[in-house]
Amino acid sequence: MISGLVSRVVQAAVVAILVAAVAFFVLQAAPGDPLSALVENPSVSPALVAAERARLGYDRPAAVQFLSYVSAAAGGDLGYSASLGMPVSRVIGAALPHTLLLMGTAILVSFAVGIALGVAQAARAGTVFDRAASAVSLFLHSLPEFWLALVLLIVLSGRLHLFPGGGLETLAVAHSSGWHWFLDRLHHLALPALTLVLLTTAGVARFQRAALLEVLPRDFVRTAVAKGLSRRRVVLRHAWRNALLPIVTLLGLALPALVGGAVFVEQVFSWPGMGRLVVTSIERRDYALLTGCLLVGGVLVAAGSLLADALALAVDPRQRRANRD
Amino acid sequence: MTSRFRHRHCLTVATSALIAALATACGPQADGTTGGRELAGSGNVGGTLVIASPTGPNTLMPPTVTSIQGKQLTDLIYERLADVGPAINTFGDEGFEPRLATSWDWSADSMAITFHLDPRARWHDGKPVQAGDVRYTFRVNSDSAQSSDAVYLSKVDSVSVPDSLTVTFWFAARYPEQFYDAAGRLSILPAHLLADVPAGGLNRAPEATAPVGSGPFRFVRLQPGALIELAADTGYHLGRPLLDRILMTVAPNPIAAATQLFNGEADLYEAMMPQQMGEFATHPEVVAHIEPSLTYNFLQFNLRDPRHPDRPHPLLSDRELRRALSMLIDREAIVKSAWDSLAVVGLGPFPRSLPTADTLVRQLPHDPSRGGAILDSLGWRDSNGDGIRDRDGQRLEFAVTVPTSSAFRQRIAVLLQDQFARNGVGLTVERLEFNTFLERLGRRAFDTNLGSWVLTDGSPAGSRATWGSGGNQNFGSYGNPLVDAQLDSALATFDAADRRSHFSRAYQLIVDDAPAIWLYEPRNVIGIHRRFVMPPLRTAGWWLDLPRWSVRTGEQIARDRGAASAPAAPVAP
Amino acid sequence: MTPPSAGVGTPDVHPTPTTSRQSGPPLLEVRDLVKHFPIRRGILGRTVGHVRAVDGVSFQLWPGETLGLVGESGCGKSTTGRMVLRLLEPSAGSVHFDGADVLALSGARLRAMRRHAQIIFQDPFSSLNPRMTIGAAIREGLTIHRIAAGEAADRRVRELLSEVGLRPQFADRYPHEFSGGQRQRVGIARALSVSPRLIVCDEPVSALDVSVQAQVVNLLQDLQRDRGLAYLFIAHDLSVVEHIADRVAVMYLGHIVELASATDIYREPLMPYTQALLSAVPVPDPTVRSTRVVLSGDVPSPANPPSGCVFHPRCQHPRKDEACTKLVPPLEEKSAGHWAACIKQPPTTVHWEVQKAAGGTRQPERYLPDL
Ligand SMILES: Nc1ncnc2c1ncn2[C@@H]1O[C@H](COP(=O)(O)OP(=O)(O)OP(=O)(O)O)[C@@H](O)[C@H]1O
Ligand SMILES: [Mg+2]
Repeated sequence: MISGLVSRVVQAAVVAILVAAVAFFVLQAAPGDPLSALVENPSVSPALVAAERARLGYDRPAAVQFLSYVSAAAGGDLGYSASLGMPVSRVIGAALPHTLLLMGTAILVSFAVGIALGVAQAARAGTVFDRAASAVSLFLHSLPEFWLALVLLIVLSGRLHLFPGGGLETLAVAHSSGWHWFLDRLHHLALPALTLVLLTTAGVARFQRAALLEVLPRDFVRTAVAKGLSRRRVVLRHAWRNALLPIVTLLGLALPALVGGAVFVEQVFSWPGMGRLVVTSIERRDYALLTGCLLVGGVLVAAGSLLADALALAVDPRQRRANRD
Repeated sequence: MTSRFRHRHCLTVATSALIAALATACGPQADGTTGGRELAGSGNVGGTLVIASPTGPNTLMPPTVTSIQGKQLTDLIYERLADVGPAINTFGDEGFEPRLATSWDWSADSMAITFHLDPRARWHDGKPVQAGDVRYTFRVNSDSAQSSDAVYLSKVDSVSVPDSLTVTFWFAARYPEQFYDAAGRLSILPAHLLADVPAGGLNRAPEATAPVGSGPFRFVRLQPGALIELAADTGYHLGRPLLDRILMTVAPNPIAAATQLFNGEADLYEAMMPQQMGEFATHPEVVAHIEPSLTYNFLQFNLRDPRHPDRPHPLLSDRELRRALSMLIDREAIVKSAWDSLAVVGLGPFPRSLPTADTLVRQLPHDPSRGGAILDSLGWRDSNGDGIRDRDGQRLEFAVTVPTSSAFRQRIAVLLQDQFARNGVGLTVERLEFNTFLERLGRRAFDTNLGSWVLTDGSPAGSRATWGSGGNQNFGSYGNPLVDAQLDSALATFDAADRRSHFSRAYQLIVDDAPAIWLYEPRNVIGIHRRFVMPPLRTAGWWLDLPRWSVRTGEQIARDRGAASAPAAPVAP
Repeated sequence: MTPPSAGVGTPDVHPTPTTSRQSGPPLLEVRDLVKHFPIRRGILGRTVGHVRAVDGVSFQLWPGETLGLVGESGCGKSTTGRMVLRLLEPSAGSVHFDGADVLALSGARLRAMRRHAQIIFQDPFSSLNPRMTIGAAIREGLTIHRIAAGEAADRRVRELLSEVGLRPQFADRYPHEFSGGQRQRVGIARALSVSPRLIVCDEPVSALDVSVQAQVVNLLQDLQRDRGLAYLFIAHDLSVVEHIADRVAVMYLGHIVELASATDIYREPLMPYTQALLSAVPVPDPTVRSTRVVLSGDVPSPANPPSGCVFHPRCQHPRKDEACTKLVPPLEEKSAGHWAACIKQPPTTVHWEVQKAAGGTRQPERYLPDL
């Protein structure tokens, strides 16, 4: 079991490095570098740009740059972000907690709501409620992230003033208590999280519904009914627990999807997280920052799927017991 | 983000009325000024300004600052020897106001300027500002590998420090912008903190992200790419700024930024788009400041063949053709359609608010029939009836490159396409990602491009680089020796009237040669919360008078009452 | 299409097949049970037809008796068994358990009834909740029906396990830790836990190794003897049922086509389908030659069953004729306690005139192939 986990970690690391490498070289191949905007800027002298380019090593061949980057990264040095003027590790260190908070909330809420909805739908499969819920889910699922985020921003914040228009917290206001501070953070978190939740919940619900529908006709569920258990107990205690595994797997898959969605949501809601760093780094050809973000993103995704594996173990006694032996 | 290029033109700013008023108030000053005048003036002390900004700065180290946000912040944190003032005149020292220097003297031959530092001036860490700091700043900035300003300091021989409060700039030659180069360009750096930083390492010094200056506002904190907080330096030697705090929060999406402004979460947003103007009507608490800008946009012709830079462009190298093309375009209609009242038609290679601008430059008329007749006479006729003129089997058709980052430029490209098409000229629109657009521009690999110059400050030498023969920002490779001569004379003369007339003649020659179609000058729309009281905004930068801003009595909101120095530190729950 | 025979085939006039040997009221009485599954198509789920999984099934089961229910895969055996326990709602018909109308029960009373009627499934792998220890699975029935709680329940679980031949310590193991035969024993222990009077055994040994099959069947027989259980024993081949069933009902495409005592069925199968099934039973002695009746063709789809006698397309009866395709053969008593649905096996209540009117050309004649 331990060796299994180790090989998963190694796998994940390899994938993360490959992703970073592809991103690095694709970005290298695209026109411009972190300093190219300066080249066309008459207020910046060509000598300064050349000196800075040499300092940052952009004058070396891409492969050499990448190798030196990888060897430094192995030692924990993620390089220097030319577009933000500070070490990549500091930039990511500042952004990562915000992204984790946003994604963690979105995952928690969307899985809780999605599972509840999926179970309710499966238990009433084929009813008007089920079909209406499916239709709404499908509709939400098909919405473009960026568009949904903007609509929510314009309507809920701009028109109805229910939520702030972005950022982490109300600026420059001293909160009278920790509780007020907490509420303020929650208020700012609500809209970006809601966007992600709306987009993700639908998928979770559909998955949960399908998984439960697949389990409900199984003999052990009939056994449970035959025992004389209430429907509620049959669905929740017997069927649902056996329909959890696909959801746990989905959790592993949802992470990368959410990371992608976060790029748009963070952009729209001025949320200073990893997604925005990715956009900035692409716009400004900041190789080190983009590669760093993707590495960290890859590690996140790998960690997510490891977590999903671990959860699967916890959820499924078969695997647990098999590993114990 | 319609504009990405900037010029170091010497820039003037406010309306001509203001310039006149100041000119009479101060008069010519040969030997410095009265020192120690309070900067802030009267008004309530306290208040917080939250600025919503599309991006954050890439560095806060003045010699290498390149972004507008970086400039805004370092202008507030750091200080110069003297400020060019609202009537920004970079020739001589007329209109300059004392900052770190209380006064200055010219040597008899005008080959040296001696500055007397204000003994009250302090770095934000409490150390006094000394002449050694000025000399250190000069050294850093005269190294072309460390500063873009090195080119302007090439005529400074040396800087000497007779005593800790006196510093002298020795020049190798006498020229009109001597004073501006020494006093108005350089943000003075703290030698006691930076002197040990190796050459080229300034950007990696801690001060690049946590600056220590001697300006009216101190740096408080920075969340990378997200938030920067400044606080009033209560020990500022010209009197503390009235506002307590300035926060710059990054809101990359323009709709989000405007939402924050109109929700009251932010107080100022300067990149308003025309379609957002309607919001002002329903939000009286936000005032739209519609200001002339230092930006001009144009359709630039490439006079060289994009594939063979050593050859002339097969179509666009023809002056008569370019003039005829210009006559086909109804600039009024384009501006009205894309910008409504938020832009005015361009007049030539200058924005109207530039002091050397000449609004009387003779324009090529909008006259499609005359343009068409010229094209006919040049042999460009639609011989095969496909709607596009041709000559010897070649179609009168070319491409325009547009950055996808600008919705407006894309829109304008389509309007141009339409107007050209109606007159038998084919225009294909090439939409390019911004970096690619720049790269193609740099390689001069385009037929025409929708370009823009944004002047923030800088010398008129900029126009030599952008429209003079062989200029390194002259992407269209336009060149006219007569223009070069006029620009050179304009930049060398000490006589104001002479300067104006040289520039006028240069502009007229350029407009007649039609190296570009001068499309429009956008106005800056800055939304600012009503509670702020401020002097008229400067065209060279609305932020330049921020120390004088204050919050109107009785209109303070919660964040205006926050602690003066301590940032609102959240209590962990 | 309405069968032309007068009144024959309509459920109400169907007599409920009984055997004279039984006395007292039946424990289970099923009358004219029908299950039609709708076939849905498209995103809107429009019903485009029905699978006639069970199409009018009637039988009775007395306490302590075993009724074998036999037929090919898909003929509706499991559906019948599930409807009896109301694990599936019948489309029509009635089920009486111990005199009570099962279909009229609901909620708590239905759940209380379930204590008395249990089920064992074919697949011992899927019939146990993989997330529950077998002890918990067995215990759940005890506590739900308030038969035992706490320590007493644990003790009862251990007793039940040893009763079905498993070690009591197995209680805290999960189903996947058992072999198929052990698991089926767990299934039996679980069914027994609530002391039922009827157990529907839905092919309880089909998935097991032949060697294990006999053990489980023996266990079931022992339990029946000790506790007076009644079994509805479902199987898809007759050989398994032979050992355990008192009576056997043969199903084909949703219908019971023959019902008789086990001995009668094996000695004298009257329905051609039963004859075919029996000749499919592997004969232990290869020297015994028999006229094999071979089933040709596939089982027709229950969504579109053949008209008349549903077996007619595959029937080998030499007297099969046009009438078989028109008339629905009633399940009728051919000899004492021996019911069969075939209008060509005399005696029949479907008179020759009626058959002729329906296009019959061959008079009924007894046909009993040499098995
Ligand atoms: N839920 C359902 N929906 C639709 N059709 C069904 C459903 N359950 C069973 N059927 C159909 O009803 C018919 C009878 O199924 P049933 O499971 O009762 O057969 P069976 O005799 O038990 O077969 P087996 O020996 O394979 O278990 C089959 O054609 C089956 O496909
Ligand atoms: Mg079955």
